[in-house]
Amino acid sequence: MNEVRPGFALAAVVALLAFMVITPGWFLPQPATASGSLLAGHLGEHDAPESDCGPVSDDPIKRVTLVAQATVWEVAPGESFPAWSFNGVIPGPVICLREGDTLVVTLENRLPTIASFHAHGLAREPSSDGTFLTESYAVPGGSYTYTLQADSTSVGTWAYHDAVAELDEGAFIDGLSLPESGEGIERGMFGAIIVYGEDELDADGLPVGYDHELVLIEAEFEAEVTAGPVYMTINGRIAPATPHYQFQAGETVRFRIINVGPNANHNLWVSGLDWRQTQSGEHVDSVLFGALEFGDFTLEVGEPRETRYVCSIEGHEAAGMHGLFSVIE
Amino acid sequence: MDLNLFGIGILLGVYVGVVPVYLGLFSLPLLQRLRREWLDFLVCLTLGIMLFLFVDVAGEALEAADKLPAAIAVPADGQASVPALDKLLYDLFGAGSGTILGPLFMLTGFALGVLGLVEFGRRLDRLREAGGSWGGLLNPATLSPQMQLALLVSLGIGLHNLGEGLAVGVAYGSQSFALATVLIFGFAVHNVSEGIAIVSPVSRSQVDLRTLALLGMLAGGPTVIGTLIGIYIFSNALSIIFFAIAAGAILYVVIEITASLGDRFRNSHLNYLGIMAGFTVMYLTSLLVLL
Repeated sequence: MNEVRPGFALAAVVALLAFMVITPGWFLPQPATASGSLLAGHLGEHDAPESDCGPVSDDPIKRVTLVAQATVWEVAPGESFPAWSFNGVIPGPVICLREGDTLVVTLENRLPTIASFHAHGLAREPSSDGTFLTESYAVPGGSYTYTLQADSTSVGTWAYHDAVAELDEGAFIDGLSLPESGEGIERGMFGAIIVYGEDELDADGLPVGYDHELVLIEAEFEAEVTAGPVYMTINGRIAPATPHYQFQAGETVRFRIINVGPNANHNLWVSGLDWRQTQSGEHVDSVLFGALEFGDFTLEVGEPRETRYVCSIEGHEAAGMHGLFSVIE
Repeated sequence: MDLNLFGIGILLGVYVGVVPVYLGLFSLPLLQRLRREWLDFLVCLTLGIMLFLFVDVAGEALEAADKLPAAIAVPADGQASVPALDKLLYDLFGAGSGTILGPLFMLTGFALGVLGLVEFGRRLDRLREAGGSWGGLLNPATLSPQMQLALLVSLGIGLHNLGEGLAVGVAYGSQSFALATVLIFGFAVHNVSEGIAIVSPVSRSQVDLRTLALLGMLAGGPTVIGTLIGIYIFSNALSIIFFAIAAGAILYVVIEITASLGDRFRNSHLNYLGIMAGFTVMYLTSLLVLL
């Protein structure tokens, strides 16, 4: 009989541990990590406007595939929590449309709960609403296809998010489910939709009148989700991994700002600069948004400076909601 | 078939279930050095671990049964695709059938698990009384009551890991997934205890490598099967049945372990500490499983 000798057992344990520690990185895809603050904005000389959408195609039917999936999301180097996401990233992919486009979204669900795509600002039938009572959701292991229209009232900045994951009884009032309900949005299932008006894009599909156009999504991750600290995030990260915005002196920048909540207000300042609400032209010191409010704001970045942006709501800066803002020569 | 995804599915099952179980199994020489008085403590440790697994998998089955109504409420038409078995249920029984089918699958699976293990235990008894071996892998000298218990524990854990693999396969079985190392670590730490639970009853017996390999495959191998099922043919209804079968099987194992201890169980505070230790270790390590 080949008994299990202590020496052999020890060797086996060491070999198995080595296998577990070393090889996953070889064979399995690894999630994106928050390796410090990444520069965003002006990264080098450019002749054309730069936007998070890139050139927007003139194909009137835009197709997007989203995969609702679990992921471990790193908000800053060494700080992560179990999240749910669209396509493994938080925020999910930006959806860029022209006025008049049809958006077809196929949602594949790899979560252990139902999941949906609920979009603000786009016209849709109840069967593409992404809410529980309309039964427009993807079951675990299944998929669902949503068809929405970007009409003339859709021009602007909107959010999309899940509205049904782990829905609880509290989401129902008088038999109607609240559209923003369930745990999906709290765990990271959200993203931006941008709809450009007819005169907002040039012949190459790039935004007219701006040097840069960026999406900025504010979101909080509460202690029940993170099983620990509260994270107040900008584009899914906390300081020091929040975007380091950098622009060239004299540039005009459009920010598409979204507060996906789920509960907190945010009041975003850029120290030394005023925001101008893009549509009305109104100047404001800061952008104060409640949960699920969104809009466009422009910055004239002016002279070279090193400054910072921060949410001035009490406790939010300490929870990570700040970052660097540079204006270079 | 996408061989890359198939290969990843197998690897996931290996990382999450097979390797951790073997890590625990190779604690056998260490357990064999403990004094004889600790044997009952170790068996109670196993009992505590199996109690946690019962609570865990029964909870999963109940939760899956609760979610079935929503999962089969959506017709598979041009807009929605639904797992094939769930679609069959919708077509056969209609959208509202989930409220009845969920509990029905739960109870059926539970009964199958209990009765299946009863029959398996009975066959092992007959095999042992006849002095036979099992597939040539066990000889009469090793098919002792303690080894029989270890086999049952392996089988119960294997059924539990089938469900665990199912959850991993659904969560990570898509082309765009990315599995953080911290997740693998969480599963590994949690499942090492299962290997210890298997060898605890036989820590006073002679166990050869082939037997250890068999026990490991029984317990850890189903994780691979469950992962592949989760990737390719997941069904919400099937997951209820898998979890419920595991719950029934583990309940039987819990009863068998308790019966094997008999009166010795009541006469020692150490035994109760063993149960608490097993349950606590599994509970705390389950917090690392970020799924």
